[in-house]
Amino acid sequence: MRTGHILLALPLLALTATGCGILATDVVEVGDPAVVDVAPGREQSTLLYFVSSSSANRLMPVVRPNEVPWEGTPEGGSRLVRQDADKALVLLFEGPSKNEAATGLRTELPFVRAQVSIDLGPDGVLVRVNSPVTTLSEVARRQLICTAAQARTADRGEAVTVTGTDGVIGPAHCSV
Amino acid sequence: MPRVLLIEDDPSVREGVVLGLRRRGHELRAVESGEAGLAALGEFRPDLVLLDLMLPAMNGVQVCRRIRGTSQLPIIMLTARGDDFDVVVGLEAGADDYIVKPARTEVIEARIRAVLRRLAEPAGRGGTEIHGELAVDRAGLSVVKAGQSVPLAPSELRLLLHLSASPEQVFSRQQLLEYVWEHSYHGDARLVDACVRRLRQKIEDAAGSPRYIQTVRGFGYRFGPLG
Amino acid sequence: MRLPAVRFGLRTRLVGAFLLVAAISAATTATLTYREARSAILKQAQDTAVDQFRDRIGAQAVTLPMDEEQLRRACRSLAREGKPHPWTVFAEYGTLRVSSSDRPTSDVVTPALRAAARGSAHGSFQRVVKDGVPWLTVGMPALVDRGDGGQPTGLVLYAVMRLSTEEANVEAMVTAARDGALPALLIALVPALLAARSVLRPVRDLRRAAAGIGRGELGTRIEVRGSDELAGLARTFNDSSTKLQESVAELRQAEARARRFASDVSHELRTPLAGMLAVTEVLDEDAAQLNPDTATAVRLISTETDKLAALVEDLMEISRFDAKAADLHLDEVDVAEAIRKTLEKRHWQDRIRRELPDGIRAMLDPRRFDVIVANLVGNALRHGAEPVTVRLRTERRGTTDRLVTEVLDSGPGIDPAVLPHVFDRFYKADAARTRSAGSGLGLAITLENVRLHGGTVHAADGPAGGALFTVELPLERPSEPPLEGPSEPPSEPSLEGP
Repeated sequence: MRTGHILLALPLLALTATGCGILATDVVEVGDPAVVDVAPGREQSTLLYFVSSSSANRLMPVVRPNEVPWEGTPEGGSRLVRQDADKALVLLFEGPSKNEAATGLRTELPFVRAQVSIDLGPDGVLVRVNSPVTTLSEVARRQLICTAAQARTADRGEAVTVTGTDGVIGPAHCSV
Repeated sequence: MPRVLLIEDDPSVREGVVLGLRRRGHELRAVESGEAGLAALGEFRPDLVLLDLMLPAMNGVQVCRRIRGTSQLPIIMLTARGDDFDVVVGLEAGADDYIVKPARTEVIEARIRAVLRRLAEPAGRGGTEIHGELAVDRAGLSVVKAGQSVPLAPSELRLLLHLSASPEQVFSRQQLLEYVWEHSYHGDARLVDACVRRLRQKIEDAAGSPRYIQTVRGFGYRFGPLG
Repeated sequence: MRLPAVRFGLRTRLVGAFLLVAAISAATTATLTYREARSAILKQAQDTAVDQFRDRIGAQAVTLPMDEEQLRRACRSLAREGKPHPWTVFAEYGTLRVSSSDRPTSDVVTPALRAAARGSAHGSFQRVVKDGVPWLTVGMPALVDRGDGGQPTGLVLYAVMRLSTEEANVEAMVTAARDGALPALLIALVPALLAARSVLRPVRDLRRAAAGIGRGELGTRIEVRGSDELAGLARTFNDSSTKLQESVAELRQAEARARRFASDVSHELRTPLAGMLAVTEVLDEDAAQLNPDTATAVRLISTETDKLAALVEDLMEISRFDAKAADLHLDEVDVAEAIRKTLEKRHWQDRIRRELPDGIRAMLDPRRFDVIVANLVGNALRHGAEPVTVRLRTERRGTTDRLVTEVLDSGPGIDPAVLPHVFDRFYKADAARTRSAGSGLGLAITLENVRLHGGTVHAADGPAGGALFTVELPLERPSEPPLEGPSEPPSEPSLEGP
């Protein structure tokens, strides 16, 4: 009988109405991430990319304060920048500091006393190093490219070509 | 043998009754209307009238009243069962008894005899009894109230004589039917009631509060007490 | 499936259905409202929490890499600013796991949230119910913007807070809905009853009208209100009862015509019979002098005239009952005496056993009672076998006394097939015996006479065989004590005119 079904449905309905409090959900994406201020600022620091030991393919940025104010004149600005950029790659090849290693950062680049030059050409950033580059791992190459792009330009998306003793990598774009 | 006047409009009934009663020795005169019947009264001088209730022109009840206006002649009505209203009216008008048609001659004759016997039968004890203002002469079959003679129809006289013979004794209607009318025990009690009414009108001072013929509710009637 | 609901009255079912609809709509509305409100409450809480968390994190200045101490400071700073709810802040940076509480990691934060927070450049949240307790977990990656768009710092912060206020609010809503439902249903009962009343009124009218028709009040009609289905039903009912009334009126007229015909026929027969009956004696007396054939014929005519007269009388009597023209002339009667007189009148007193206790007095129509007893005894003598017993007694039934008269014969009893018809008119129990001494109306007249007295008569087989007819009449005793014979007048008689 129809009445019967309705009578049965009633407690069911009541159950649904009263039985649920707050339910669990799936992960829901909500808007932008947080953006933090990193000290020191861009002018007083160098950005290096190391690899997170907790996830193998992730680059983590490290901001190193420039140790001394670079001596030079306003008219030699171009050189100054270039030396900065060179310095960044040198620091990258030197690997994470003791503090940085303590937080789990490591590098995949071989430790070398690198002779590095970075130039900005029409095709992007040109990097020259005095070590083999074609044997570098994928993550290592990304460390190199991202750090170089970041060091030489304001845009880390700039194409980077790395010329080593054994060949050329790139041009490639930084992806973090 | 009694002389009987038959007033009956239906020829077959009239002839049948005449034939039956004549063979039993009655002297009969049969007429077919009330008017003719009234006319025959003086000339034929009947002892008794057999009166059909349903007559053309003047009906039986009217005839009955006319007869009672001048005479206390015994009157027996002929009626059909079911004509209850006519029976009551006829009895009120003064008829002494009634017979339901169709009836065998022996039944008719028995009723005639009964009515006439009431008159003929001597009342046993002779002499005149005095009950209050009533003087009842059982031998002379007459009743005088306060010096005035009271004319009573045969059934009325017989009823009064029967009741007054045993003052203060209660008689049921059935008993009175048997004693006074010689009817069966199961006869029509309206005969008694109608007769009592007529009797009271004649002998009571106020018919509404009877002194001589008293009703004992649920049982019947009695004579007195006059107290 | 048959539920007890089938046995409920129409009113109950209507009210039930009404309440059910009310309950369902209330419950549905409540549920939908509840869901919306719950979403709103939670969305508000979530959005506030996520926005606040994002803002607070954005207000932090960090160095990269972060060391454990710096991370812990940040966590605690963030935890202090947790509003509106206190939250616990967990941080992941590289291999570092730090929190604002004692435990470095949370067991509420799911791997899915961690994967989402670390793998995308979006904030995420997830509601988790753990052990019945609802939590809100927010995962927020920290980005750094150095003028070239944000890039991950590798730092991911998690805020974990209990949704206790929201839970309380939601439960308060449920409680309110539940507590509001019962009064709402009770209030709904009022319109339900009113509606049921208005719907049922025509039904009630219809029932009353149908009952009226059933009682024989064929003039009963229903007022037709409106133009709904019930009005249609009422119209149909009215049409039907009109038709019925007409049919019944026709039938009654036909029956009345038939009865009047029977009555007229008997009336017309009576006059010639009166003449014939008056001369039957002449025929009887003279028959002896006629030649044998003529004598037989003459006696036959005489006998049959008697029977015809009796039959016509019975027919007249029945006609009067049918015309309801039969009157009851009640009189105070000594019942045993009345029965004795009945038997004597017909010369039956020596053939009948009598069990007639003295002193029973009743209000009866003496003539009709005579007919009742005579017909029953006559029937017993004709169709049963002697000895026939007439028995009289009184019985008390509840508050009324009954006068019981029984007539029992010693015959074979009544054929069960005949039993239902013994009081029918002209019913012949034995098909072969087409003529009997009776008119065929005797028992029918008995039945009518008993009914006229307000009594009952029924036929059955006696305890020892034989037919037993039992007449029960209401016994109305006289108000005064019975009079013993005609010699003793009551001491204080009541006096009145007749």
